[in-house]
Amino acid sequence: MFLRNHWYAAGFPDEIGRTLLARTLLGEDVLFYRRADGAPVALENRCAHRRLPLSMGALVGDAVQCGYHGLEYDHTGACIKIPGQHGVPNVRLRAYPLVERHRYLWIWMGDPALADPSLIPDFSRLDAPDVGVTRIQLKPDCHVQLVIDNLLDLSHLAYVHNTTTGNAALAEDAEVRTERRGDVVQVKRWVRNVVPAPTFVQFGGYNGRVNLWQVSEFRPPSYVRVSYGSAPADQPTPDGDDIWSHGHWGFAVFHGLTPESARATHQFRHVAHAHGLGDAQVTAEFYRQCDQIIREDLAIFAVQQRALDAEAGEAPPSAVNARVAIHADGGLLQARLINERLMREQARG
Amino acid sequence: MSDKFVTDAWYVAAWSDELGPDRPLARIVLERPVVLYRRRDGSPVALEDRCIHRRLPLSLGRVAGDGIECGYHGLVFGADGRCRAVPGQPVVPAEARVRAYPTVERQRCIWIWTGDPARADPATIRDFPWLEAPGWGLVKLHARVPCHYQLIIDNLLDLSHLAYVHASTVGSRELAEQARVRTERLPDGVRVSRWTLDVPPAQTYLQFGRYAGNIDRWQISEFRTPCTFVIDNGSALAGTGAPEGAPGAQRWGFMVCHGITPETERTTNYFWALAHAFGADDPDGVAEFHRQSLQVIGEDIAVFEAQQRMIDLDPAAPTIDIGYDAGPLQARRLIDRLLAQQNAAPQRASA
Amino acid sequence: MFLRNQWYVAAFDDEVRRTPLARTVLGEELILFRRLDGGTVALENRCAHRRLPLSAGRLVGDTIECGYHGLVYDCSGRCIKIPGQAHGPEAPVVRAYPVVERHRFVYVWIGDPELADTARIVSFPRLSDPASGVTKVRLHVPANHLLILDNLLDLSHIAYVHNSTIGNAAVAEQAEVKTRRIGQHVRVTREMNGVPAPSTYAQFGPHQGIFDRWQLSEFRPPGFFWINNGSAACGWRRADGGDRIETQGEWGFEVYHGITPETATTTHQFWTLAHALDMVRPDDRAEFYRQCHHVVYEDLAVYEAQQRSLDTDPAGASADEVGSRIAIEADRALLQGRQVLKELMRANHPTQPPIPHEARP
Repeated sequence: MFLRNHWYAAGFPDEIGRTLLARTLLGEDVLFYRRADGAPVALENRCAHRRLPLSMGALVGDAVQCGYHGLEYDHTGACIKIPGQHGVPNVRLRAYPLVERHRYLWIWMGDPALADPSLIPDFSRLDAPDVGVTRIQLKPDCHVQLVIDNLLDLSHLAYVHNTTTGNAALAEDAEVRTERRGDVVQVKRWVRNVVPAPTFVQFGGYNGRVNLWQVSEFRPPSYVRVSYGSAPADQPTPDGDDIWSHGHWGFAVFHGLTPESARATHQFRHVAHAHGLGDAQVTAEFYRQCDQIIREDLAIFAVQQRALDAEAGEAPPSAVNARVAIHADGGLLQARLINERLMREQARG
Repeated sequence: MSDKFVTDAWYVAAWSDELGPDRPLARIVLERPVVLYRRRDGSPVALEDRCIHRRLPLSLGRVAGDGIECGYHGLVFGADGRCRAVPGQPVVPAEARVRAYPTVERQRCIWIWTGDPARADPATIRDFPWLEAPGWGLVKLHARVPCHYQLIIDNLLDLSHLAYVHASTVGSRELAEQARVRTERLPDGVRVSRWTLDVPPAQTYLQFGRYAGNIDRWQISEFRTPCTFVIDNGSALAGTGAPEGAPGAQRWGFMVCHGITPETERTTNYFWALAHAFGADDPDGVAEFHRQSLQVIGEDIAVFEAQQRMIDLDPAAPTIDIGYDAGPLQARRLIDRLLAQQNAAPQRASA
Repeated sequence: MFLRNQWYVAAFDDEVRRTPLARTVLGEELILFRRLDGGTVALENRCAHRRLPLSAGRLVGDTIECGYHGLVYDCSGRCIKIPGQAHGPEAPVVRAYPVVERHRFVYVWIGDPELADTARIVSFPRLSDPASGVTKVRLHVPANHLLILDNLLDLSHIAYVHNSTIGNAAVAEQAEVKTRRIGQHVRVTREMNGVPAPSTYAQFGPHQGIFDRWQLSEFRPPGFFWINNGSAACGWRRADGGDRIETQGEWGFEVYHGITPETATTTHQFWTLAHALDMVRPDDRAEFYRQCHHVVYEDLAVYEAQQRSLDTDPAGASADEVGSRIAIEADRALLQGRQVLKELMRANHPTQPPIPHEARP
């Protein structure tokens, strides 16, 4: 049901420390903590003895002690102590490879031997010293595919986010180009000589018409980064790789999307913007709007998932075919095909 | 129909004080909906909680003399389950009856038999004399726990868990690391005896046993199939002869009686009662002791809920056994054997 | 499972407005709204594109705009605009349902639209008669619709379920009951002569002691009930010699139910009550209506408990089997009612299923 041999966003590094944190990822309950030297640990969150979640236990040095009968496990998942007996059975809980990078905790959910850190997506923009960053963590009540769909068709801004970053022009007057290179899908959009949406007016400081450009990029299994740029209407619009620039004003968004189950998704999102947004109050208002936007999408996802459940039962969203595909769907349909192919390859082993 | 529970047994359906004089009480026992009420003379009745006519639970009706009147169309059923009257017609259809379950009230408990009524012998009801012993204090609880009943049996036959789950009250490390444990088969159950010698007292024992030094401590857990426990918890000053059978110096302790009654495969009605002989002269102390005891049972219930959640997430996940599991495993084998015998027997009176 | 090719009440007239209303009827999800000229529209509540319910969108004139990507549909269900593209593939379509508004009810045809015949609508003109006082309630009942049919065709239950208002023992024990099938209707009448007046009748009617009382309950498929309640002094007869059973006599009221299945375990109940204006003084109406509403809620508690009883039956019982083990005399009418529904289901030719969910060319 899930693509396993991939890195997934498990959370933000400052969420884990010397206490036990439990989180369900890809249908598996995972335990997180840090050893005394700060190294992060991820283990199967279930005592091998009587299945109590280890997160209900305690840290004893670098080991986790089960809160039921006191069995202890080290960071490799090996059982190292059973109270009241000398022998320890050859029991090892699953340990997940874990890497901290680009303000995310990345966890490898598949065969540990295949865990290659170079496959972690390049969100290095988040490490740049000259950016301001805000983040949020949400759990949309929907299959991860619906979130990917949403991020690859930004025409929805015109209807869902029309008090902030969207207006009708974005849907009706956009030039849209979908490009695929290997397993990477990019959807590029340009609108020229239009009235800017409220957020752009407020923070871009525009008086008249503008050119806007957006790019959404998908990489399997579920990494999405989005960039927005804008400039006064008399200036040229970028093409090629320059579409990632922000022009006069813009920002970038990074999504780490990790299924919790077939019907719920962890969404770990960062927004990065060049410094110089203004004073603290202005920045706070921009961040507030970014959070409002993502919450508006949340409402859509919940309603969509309920509708799909009523029709499809246990089948995944892709099994419920739309009765129509519109031009704007080009990118998300490509993304679906890529993930479906990867699932078939995984099934074949 | 193959049963998941041992039905030829007495189970606790309710505490006596849960059943008032003229209000029916609804409860699900071994997946069977049951309505309990009292006759005019106070004796309890248990019937199938489902009117034979339009299936409204009889517990939504009202007690009428020694019978119960359905709240929908007024059919009246007697204590034997037979319909006595149908409003508006003189003839009562012969098939108009609901199942009646043998019921016995004893020692603050209302016991029910859901199996073949011909085999219901009150002499086999578990004896809980401490619940009515003169001069003994009592604290008790009925909890509807979202877990399979097996998890509770496992817990009560491996009392090493006190060291971790109840570390702030009745548990101490030594109970897990230094106990001497003996597991014995009984004719119809398992007894696990644990002795932990010459150890510092756990918080509750220190506070109410008032020990200045180390203690010898015992935990004797006696399980009878399918679902009752008596657990003897006690301590005495270390080295004063308690393990050898002598009374010992500064003896302190309490008895706990458990009735574990399956509701469904995922929920259980848990009846827990703790009786103690000390404290008649110290009501404030007793109140604090009761509070700590209720905290202990609350900690266990949190464990059961979490385990059941994990089982539901992945029922096939493997488990291992450790040394202390001898008792719980014996209990499981005994119950499995009873179930196998029960399901192999030819079909009996309708369940 | 349900009787299709019928008109069902989807809403009261005042529920359908210029903001979209989402409602599920016989398992089909509908969106209802009013056109600018006041007419009613019922469409399938699903955008053809990404399946978002259209009720999450907004009305623009007489069209509905999906709240996700802005596709716009007209009242016939045809998509007339897709933002950002001039000509798309053949226009997508959502299903449009025949809809009729009549006497306070908004009816929707569930089944093959070609067979929709407005002559088959079951309506109650008294509900829009200015000479009648009317009160109404919509209930969402967590139970299968057959349990409501059982209840309304055996009014002896009033003696037990509603004994603080309109019922007392006499209703169950002293009634002369007659059951009759008239075509596809089932009518059961109960005459109770020389019985004590129950609380509500004594409070609002002219008789406080012993009186005559009668009830008529008539089922009209697929899910409509006409219940006439009348009372008068002992021995009272109509001046013209006609049967008093269809009138209210000296004091009474009529109740009309529109019962619409939502799913196999939930039902919409549209309950209405009409009375002659001079039978309940204006100052008394609030309390009289409150007591009558209370009756409906008492029944709701019964339905909920019955459905739970079925849902927890290890043998997997359904509402079809309720009462399969015994029948009492009072069950005669409801058994006939269930029989009528079965006959109609069998006679129903298989219709087109809802539009299948494949991509259209």
